[in-house]
Amino acid sequence: MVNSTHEKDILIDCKNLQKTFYTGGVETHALRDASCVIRRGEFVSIMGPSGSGKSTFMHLLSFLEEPTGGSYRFDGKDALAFDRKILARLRNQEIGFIFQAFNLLSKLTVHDNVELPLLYDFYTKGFSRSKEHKKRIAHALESVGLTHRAEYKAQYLSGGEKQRVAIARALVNNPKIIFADEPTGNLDSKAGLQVMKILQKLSADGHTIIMVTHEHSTARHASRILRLRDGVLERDEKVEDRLFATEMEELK
Amino acid sequence: MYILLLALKMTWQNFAAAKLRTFLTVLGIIIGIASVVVVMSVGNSAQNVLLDQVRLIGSNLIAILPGASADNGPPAIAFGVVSTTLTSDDIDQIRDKNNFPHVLYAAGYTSTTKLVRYRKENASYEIQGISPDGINVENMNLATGRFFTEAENTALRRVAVIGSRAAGELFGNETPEGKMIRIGKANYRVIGTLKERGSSFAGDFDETVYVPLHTAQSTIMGINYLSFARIRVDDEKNIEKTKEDIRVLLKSRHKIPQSEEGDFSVRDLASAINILSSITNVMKYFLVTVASIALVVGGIGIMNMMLITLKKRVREIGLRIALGARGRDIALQFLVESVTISVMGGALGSLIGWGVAELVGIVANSRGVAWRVTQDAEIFVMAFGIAGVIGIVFGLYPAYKAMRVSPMEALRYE
Repeated sequence: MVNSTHEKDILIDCKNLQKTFYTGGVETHALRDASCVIRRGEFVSIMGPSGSGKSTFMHLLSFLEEPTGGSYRFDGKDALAFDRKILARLRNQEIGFIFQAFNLLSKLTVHDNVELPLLYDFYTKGFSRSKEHKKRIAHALESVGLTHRAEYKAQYLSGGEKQRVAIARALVNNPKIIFADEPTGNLDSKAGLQVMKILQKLSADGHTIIMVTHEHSTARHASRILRLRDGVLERDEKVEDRLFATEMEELK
Repeated sequence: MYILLLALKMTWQNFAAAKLRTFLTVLGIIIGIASVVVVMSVGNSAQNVLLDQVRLIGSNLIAILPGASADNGPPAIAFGVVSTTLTSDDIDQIRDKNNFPHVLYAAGYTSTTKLVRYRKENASYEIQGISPDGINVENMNLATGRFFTEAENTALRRVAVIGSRAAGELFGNETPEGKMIRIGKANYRVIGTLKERGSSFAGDFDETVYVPLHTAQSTIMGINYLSFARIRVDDEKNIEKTKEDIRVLLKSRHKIPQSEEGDFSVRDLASAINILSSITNVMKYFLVTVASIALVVGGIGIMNMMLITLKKRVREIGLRIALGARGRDIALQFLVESVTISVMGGALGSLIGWGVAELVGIVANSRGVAWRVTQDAEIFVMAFGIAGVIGIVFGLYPAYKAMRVSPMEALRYE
């Protein structure tokens, strides 16, 4: 599958990843075996029925949980050796999250929600910090077409708009990779399509995106699909009949 | 600094979002701090009132009480023992500069209560027979006239110096000097009046009529011994030595072997002040301890609120961690919130406590107690300090719980 790839093009390289939960003396093998290589700029869907381990797989890749077995190299470094401090920096600087439930702070404005990751940016130094932050917020809002909503409270937005704010928030730190967990799961088809359109545009601009979904039509917007079944990564396939979101097309 | 400002901003937002809960939590601390401030402040004031009264008499005073008693215990007279061995001759010896270089003044006293009459006015007053030196021992100040002399004392002259209120009650607007008053069955000429001195646990100086010691002993009471004697020395630090010299002198004069206990006791006010201070301090800190229980309850209130906040905001905290907040950012956020609550409570509680202490002073003054409200800055510094410590101590556990929240909480779908 992976051929003639330059070492530095590889963002994610995992082998035989496993995750076993122990609850009340009972073992649950959420993920048994998953190996894959993801290069920079790829748009990858992780698919599978519920209970297949697709969410667990994404949690491991995005450092939300630690694997109980296997190896994982992120950006050339051993991810299993990352401590809390490194993880906080990674989450802030190199990773963007998009959640199914949006997870906006409803009492804050759109602008303040997008600003949230920047509040924890302890890494950009110097006098130009706030200027740079302003620029990034403006750019992120523009990318999702919500510049005109900047001063609205998040709670007054529609679902589709909320998810676009969440995308802007994920973008604002200019991350190396964006993780999207069922980003269209809470949206109607039209709004979902709009979200996919934005994600595809981000992908075209060179962002790496990993998206978990159980909908086949949604998954086909990516360039590659990883299919899981019973905790095993079964198939890793290129999307031949890739869908491109336009205003006309309907999801589902 | 930036992180602290961020935490303060978020604290403000969170308080605004839960106004009633925040207020009730602050109230717990207000009550606790106010109680501590009131107890400390009122306690200090009461202590000062007591010590003021003692100091009014003077801290370089030595008292000789007839009858044996423990130096710090109640005097023999309190047990109904009347000892007749202390005489004015004893005191004259103590006045001898050669043997007692540090003694400034020494006075013998005897006292009783008699009906005093001037024309149609009459009332019962304390009659105190006192050596002419007494005016200096007692730090009394004359308002008009003069005090009696040694010659008048020796000659058993019937003259009197009267306290300010007694003068007012007996004479009204008349000038008392030169007037004759009747004490018991004899007439006395008023030769002076005293300035107001106030009252103390030792008696009301302003309602006392003073007559020469020997006159009182022979004419009014028919005795030749003293109720007590007081000696003023030049400096507090010479008190111990003088006391010892007095003991030696009196034992030899009373023909008691030096190795045995005397038939008198020698005391001083400095040690009385110390005993008084230590007793009132114990009382004060006992009360502060009781009041502190309210503070602990307030602190538990803070912890309770922070744990509820944690539960309600666990998803938000998870999100913040997922977006790059470090454990210490979250912990700091929680600590800033709990300390803000307790310090706000500390500020309002101090203010209320201060008000209550002032009110106590106003009420006490209106009841005629010479109450002086003492508001020591240290009480308020301490109140703030305690509030801050409470905020930290009771905020630590919720802060620890908060920093351990998993970013997975953000993904949990409701």
